[in-house]
Amino acid sequence: MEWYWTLLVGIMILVALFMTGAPIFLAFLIIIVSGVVMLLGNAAFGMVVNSIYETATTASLGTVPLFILLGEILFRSGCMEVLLDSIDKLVGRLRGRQYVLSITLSTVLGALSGSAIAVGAMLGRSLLPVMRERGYDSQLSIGTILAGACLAPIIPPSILAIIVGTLTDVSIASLLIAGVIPGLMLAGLYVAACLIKVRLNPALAPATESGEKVNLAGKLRALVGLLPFSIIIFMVMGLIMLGVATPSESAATGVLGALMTAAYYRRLSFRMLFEAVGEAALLSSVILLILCSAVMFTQLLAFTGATSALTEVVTSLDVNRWVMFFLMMLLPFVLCMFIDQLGLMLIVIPIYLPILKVLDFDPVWFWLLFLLNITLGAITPPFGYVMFAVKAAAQDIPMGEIFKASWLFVGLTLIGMMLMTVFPGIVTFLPRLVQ
Amino acid sequence: MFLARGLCRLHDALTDAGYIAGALALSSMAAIYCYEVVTRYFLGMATDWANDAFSNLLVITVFAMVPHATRTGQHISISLLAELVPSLRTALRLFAAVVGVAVCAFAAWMSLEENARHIQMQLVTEQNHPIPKIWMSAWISFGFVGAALYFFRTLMPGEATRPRSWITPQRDVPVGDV
Repeated sequence: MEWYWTLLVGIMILVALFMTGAPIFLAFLIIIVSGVVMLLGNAAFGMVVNSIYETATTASLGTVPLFILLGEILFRSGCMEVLLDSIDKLVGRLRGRQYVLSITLSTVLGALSGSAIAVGAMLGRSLLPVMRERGYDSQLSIGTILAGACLAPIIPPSILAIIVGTLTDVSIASLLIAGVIPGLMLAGLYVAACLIKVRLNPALAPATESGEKVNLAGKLRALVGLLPFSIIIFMVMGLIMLGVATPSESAATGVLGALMTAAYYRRLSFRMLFEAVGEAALLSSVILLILCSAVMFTQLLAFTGATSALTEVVTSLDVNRWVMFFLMMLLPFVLCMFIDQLGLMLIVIPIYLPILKVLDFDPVWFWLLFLLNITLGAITPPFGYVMFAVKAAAQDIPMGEIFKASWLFVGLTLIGMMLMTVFPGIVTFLPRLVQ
Repeated sequence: MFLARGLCRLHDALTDAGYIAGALALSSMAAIYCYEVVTRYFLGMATDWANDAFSNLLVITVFAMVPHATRTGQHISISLLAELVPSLRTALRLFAAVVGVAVCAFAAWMSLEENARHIQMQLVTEQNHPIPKIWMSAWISFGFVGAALYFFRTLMPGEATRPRSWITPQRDVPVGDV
């Protein structure tokens, strides 16, 4: 069988298995074991187990459970309430302040949890009813939650960035740092768009709801309330940027920072700690099990000859590299409307790697745009699954309204991505500065 | 029935033990790297065992938790088709459970074969402080065997086979939830 048929049939079976609702790791194991039997024979089963073992002992992947643990400690200890209260006070009194608050919260929560779905579900249940009750426009409110959630995979600590770094052999530290400016830029873009919309159409935000008046002392207290969180950010990002710690080590010191923060607010307890560690280990297990099951996919692609053939095809194609870039971004954007980000990454990355070498794009820049792109698919109608998370949390809102809510922010994110394409320094400035 | 109930409770107890092992492994990973940063940058004494221990503990964190993740239905999957066509939901769950039994049992068999080879050849890890490889690779078998059994138990709904947990009782899977 020609390599492209093998590749096409393999991917189609994989996607079909995904769609049945079977756990993703099972789908990958089926494909890999079948591939091994067909290409290498039964004697190669040991290779599958050794590949799983090698992946499970890759120290850089240890960053994933540690970042999850950091988020779990902050959520379970109730420290997030302090953070929310401080941000609320600092947002100030302006018309449409809840939109600003919603974007800020979803951005911060997305960064800390690393999961766009979790943010969509959490804020859809907690913040959205409050916003609607206070007379804020439903569509714009939903849109702000979707938009902030979309930033989760690029603003550090990002679990997906670590996985991409591990699979592509790109510096994880660079990928983590590269997301800071684009993430903040996009959050700023969302806030600006909301405020402009409110200015143009005041009916989008109630005139009466402008928050309690906070004096200077109150604002200072709110700033002090944010200090322990700044220490965590320093212990994670600062130590990487200063070259003191590797990403895994900085994740561990971040966990220490989260524990110190919880202790500072007198919210540290053995029970909370046990639950946080258990949940973090559980979540890490389901994520890394997929990775362990799928990592041999890359090797199988090489065995089928698909990797070298793809490289040859791309080299011989007389297509502008920017057209290829556009196509390489379009594919995950469309597929991520249907498929889980992690599953999609594990299929697409091994195929993209040889092509990327030919096209000679900056890998940090490319993979960061890729990360942003796959989350964008998750907030794009008709199947973006973060929208389903919001729908599940707010049952009375028609799906059509959620679809309409996302378009503005999908457009803004695309504008942001275009800016990052035209001015790659937005992405590459910080990583180069650190190097 | 009595034997089945006893075996299921033993399986549940081992899964709970795995949960504790995974949680302890993760805590130790955090503690080891904090210690490493402090000793390297503040005391000028880098350890030569921290990376080895960290990698080994990662295997435990990942695979000791797999049976619990299966017991509580926490594995990541795409539920789009089941949401779009609710009438297919039961059939799809059944399919997932059958596939789960077959694939995890096969993976467990491959892993156990490899474990036997590690013991026979007395293989050790390629680290600064080598340890027998079986100490780590056995966790992979633990994960797949435990998961295969839970997928099997979801195909046999009943009071005796109903998954239980003493660690996280709120996460018990309801009877007949195939």
